Amino acid sequence: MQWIATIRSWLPPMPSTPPRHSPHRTTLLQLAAIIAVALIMHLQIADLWIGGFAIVVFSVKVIALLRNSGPPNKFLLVLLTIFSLGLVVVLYGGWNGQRAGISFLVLLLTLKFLESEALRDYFVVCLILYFLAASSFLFDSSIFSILIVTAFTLAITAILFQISNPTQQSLGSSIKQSTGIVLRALPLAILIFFLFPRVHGSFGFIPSLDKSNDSGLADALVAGEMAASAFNQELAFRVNFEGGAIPARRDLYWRVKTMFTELNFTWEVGKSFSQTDLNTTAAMQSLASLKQSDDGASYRYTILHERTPDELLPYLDFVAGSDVGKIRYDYSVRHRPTGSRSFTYQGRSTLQPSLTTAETPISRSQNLNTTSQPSARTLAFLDEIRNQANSDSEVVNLVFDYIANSQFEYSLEPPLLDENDPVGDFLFNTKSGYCEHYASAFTLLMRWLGVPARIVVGYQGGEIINAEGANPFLELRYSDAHAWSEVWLNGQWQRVDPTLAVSSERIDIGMRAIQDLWDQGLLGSGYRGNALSDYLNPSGSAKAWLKFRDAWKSAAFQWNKWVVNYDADTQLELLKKLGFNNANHLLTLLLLLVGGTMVLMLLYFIRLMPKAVHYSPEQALYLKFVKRFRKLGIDKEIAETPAEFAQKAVNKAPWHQADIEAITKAYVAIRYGGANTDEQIDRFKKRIQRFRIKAS
Amino acid sequence: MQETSALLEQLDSVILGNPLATKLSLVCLLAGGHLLIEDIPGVGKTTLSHALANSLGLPFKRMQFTSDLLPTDIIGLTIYDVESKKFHFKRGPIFTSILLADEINRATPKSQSALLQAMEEKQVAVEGRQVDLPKPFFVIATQNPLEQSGTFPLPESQLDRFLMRLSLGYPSAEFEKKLLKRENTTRLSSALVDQHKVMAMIEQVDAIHVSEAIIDYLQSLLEKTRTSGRFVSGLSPRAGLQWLQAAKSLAFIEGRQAVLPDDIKLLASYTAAHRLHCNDGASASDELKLLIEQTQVL
Repeated sequence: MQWIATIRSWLPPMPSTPPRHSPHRTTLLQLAAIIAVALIMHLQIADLWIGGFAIVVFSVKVIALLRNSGPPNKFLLVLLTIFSLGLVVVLYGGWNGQRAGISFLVLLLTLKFLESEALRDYFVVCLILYFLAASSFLFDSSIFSILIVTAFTLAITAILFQISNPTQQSLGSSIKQSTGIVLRALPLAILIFFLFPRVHGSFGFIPSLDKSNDSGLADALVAGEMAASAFNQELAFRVNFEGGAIPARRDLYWRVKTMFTELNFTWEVGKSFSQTDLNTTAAMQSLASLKQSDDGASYRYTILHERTPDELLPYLDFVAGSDVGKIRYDYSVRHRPTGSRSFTYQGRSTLQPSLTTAETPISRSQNLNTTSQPSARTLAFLDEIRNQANSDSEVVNLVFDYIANSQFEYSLEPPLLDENDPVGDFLFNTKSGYCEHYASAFTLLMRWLGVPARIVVGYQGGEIINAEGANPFLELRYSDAHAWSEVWLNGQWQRVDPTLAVSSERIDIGMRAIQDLWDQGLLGSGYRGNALSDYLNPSGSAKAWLKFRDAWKSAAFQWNKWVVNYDADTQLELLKKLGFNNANHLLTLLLLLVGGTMVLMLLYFIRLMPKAVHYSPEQALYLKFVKRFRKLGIDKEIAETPAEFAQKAVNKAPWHQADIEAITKAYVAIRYGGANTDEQIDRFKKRIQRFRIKAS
Repeated sequence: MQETSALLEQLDSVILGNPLATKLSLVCLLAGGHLLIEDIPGVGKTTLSHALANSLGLPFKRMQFTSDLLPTDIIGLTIYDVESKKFHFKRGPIFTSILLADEINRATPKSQSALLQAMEEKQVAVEGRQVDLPKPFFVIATQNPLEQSGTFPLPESQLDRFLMRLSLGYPSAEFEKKLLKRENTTRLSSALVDQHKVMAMIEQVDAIHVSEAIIDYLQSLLEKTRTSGRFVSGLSPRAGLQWLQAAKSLAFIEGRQAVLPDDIKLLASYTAAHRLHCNDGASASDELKLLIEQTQVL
């Protein structure tokens, strides 16, 4: 049984009764420092009012600690509690949502800290601190954040050691102990993280994403409003292509949603109830499949998407299969809402629409309808096009050529357009804009010219990370958001990207390059010069930096894949890599794991169990005697000897002195003096039975 | 009973304001153990040992331990007597009943262990034969905890040889004033008992009743020092035996026939704390108190 003893020696010691000393002031000030750090970490998430209130409450407690004054008035505490609850309700309309939740925790922490007096109060404060530390992952799950949270957890554990220790000890030794205990727990934690059975789907308890920090693509498009997102460097999603082959840049169009409803130059996603669209959706779903074997014409990929409130998610044009999403008539794919975490999905796409024309008819009127009227100068331009063109495809080409050959300029800060005639102003006057200007103007022109057209919103390009490495992947940011047009030609939707006519660099090099050059003021009339070639052929040091950046991004990608987005599928993949191909082996492993964990827990709880106590007859009688004093508020501490208890009882109830002393003497004689004959016990029993407690 | 209270009274008139220390030193002597006093100089260590020896009518010797002290300086040595043409064993200062080993940590480990071995076995080896030491044999060793340079602090295994560790501490203001006025007049106290009487008292200590309940209580405390995880290592069975012996001695001095849990509790920090070391450098005495606070007594 040596091994059981060994395992038990790893477990932290359990006190048989909880410690009851009052914590040292220095320790409490150390705890205050940790709370201050927690407040700083979470204040940016919580509301300004909540933050201010929390800081005030916290400062009051720190001052009280420094002055050694007692806990505040109970009435004041109740008032503060009601006030803070009200604050959360007024600011967030309840406690649903992450910001409300965090605010609630922050208030809970500071208020509990304020009212804390006994040891167990401070234990609760530490517990709330652990919750706050864990809640940081809701907002950031990068490698850095886990380092910060780990350091924070170590600090809380160290403080727990400090507090629970009745004798003051150095902070260094507490930190050593907490590091030790965390390190000992780490292997088991890692094992459980990777091998504990994962369930498909998400747990219900993750709070919903607040509407206020939506990041995603808007459902409406007004020329000029997307500009903000052009500078949003936040990561949108990463793509890992199966086999590592990434399509050419001009094919990297990631469709999210299509917009076919136009109202006063504003494009919207709209809801389609037309029978043709419903039929198309049905056809798409029956034909598209992820598993279908193919002839190499399709790309399979895994997307790691950052958290988003959107239900329509990016797929490479044109999607031919998805593992969880539902493909719709317009090649957009709808997912179930994913809540507040990042997630993974798989897709299969072909560069040409995989379905035939007959399977995907369209509603012509829906894609020709406009509410905006062309101005006089636009009408003249439309007439000119109509006169020259003999077919729809010629119309498309003429307009595309016009944009390509009329000194249009790609600009991230285009001038404002005339509200009454934005299209005319853009086409004949400012001639400056970026993707959405071109896409919306082009699509509207098509509709006026009688060619069914719609806008597609999504992402274009992206940055290839680790291009020469073993595991290249594509990183797309919100700044890679793009809008382009689709026209109905020859019974098929065809992509026309008018931005390509103006700035092929946007497509061929990517948004990142455009921005870098824009930031350096190199974009504009002369940007086809040296700046661009320098950018494309970086110097030695710049290359080294790029290499380092790629390595870091690769690490972040693996982190996200194996840790942040670790789910049932990834687990299966890992187990297969470990050689558990067989479902039976898998089951055995899981059973072993679950069983092992339970044995460990059992061992732990066996230690916690109090040993059964058998009282001798005289002990039982004495306990009966002791219990009677509870009425007078006199209780025996477990470590109090009969003599000590007698002393205490006599001090508090001097009117019982004679009885207390006689009974204690008799008891001590029986229990410790060896005078435990039946006769003596009997006499003792009678003595106890005669004894009646009196109030005074 | 009469004798012990008279003894204590006399000791207390010499050592002012520290009745616990005088009582504990008597407890230690009657329990057949040895006493380690850890304190700064000038708080009455020598006075205490003197008073103890005088009151008990026992021979007393004082040894100042220094770094050049040799084992033979303690035990004695065999010399050649030219007249009788024989080897003679000349007894060292250790052949006494009460030995004050002052500043024991100044001597080299070699000399220390010569003394400690004699303490343990109550006899010394001379020329391959064992010579018994006088009965009773009681060592009061002192150690200055502040002065550490050039000293050899006693290793943990040696600390275990001492039944008790005490620290006298400063007297209270009231008693210090009395001391300054020289009101502790009976500096050279008279003998109240003699060596035979002392041996009889030691025998009486052995006859004190120890109930099963006390054995259970003490054993559970010993067990807890081993399993609490707070100490580098728990108490040894020898420590338990000595603790119990001290408790019996205390009961005897207080005129009782049986050991009470109060005796065990009171003696914990004196008989057990110096044998324990906390994992994290916290005070062993405080940890032990906490452990006792969590152990049920009924």
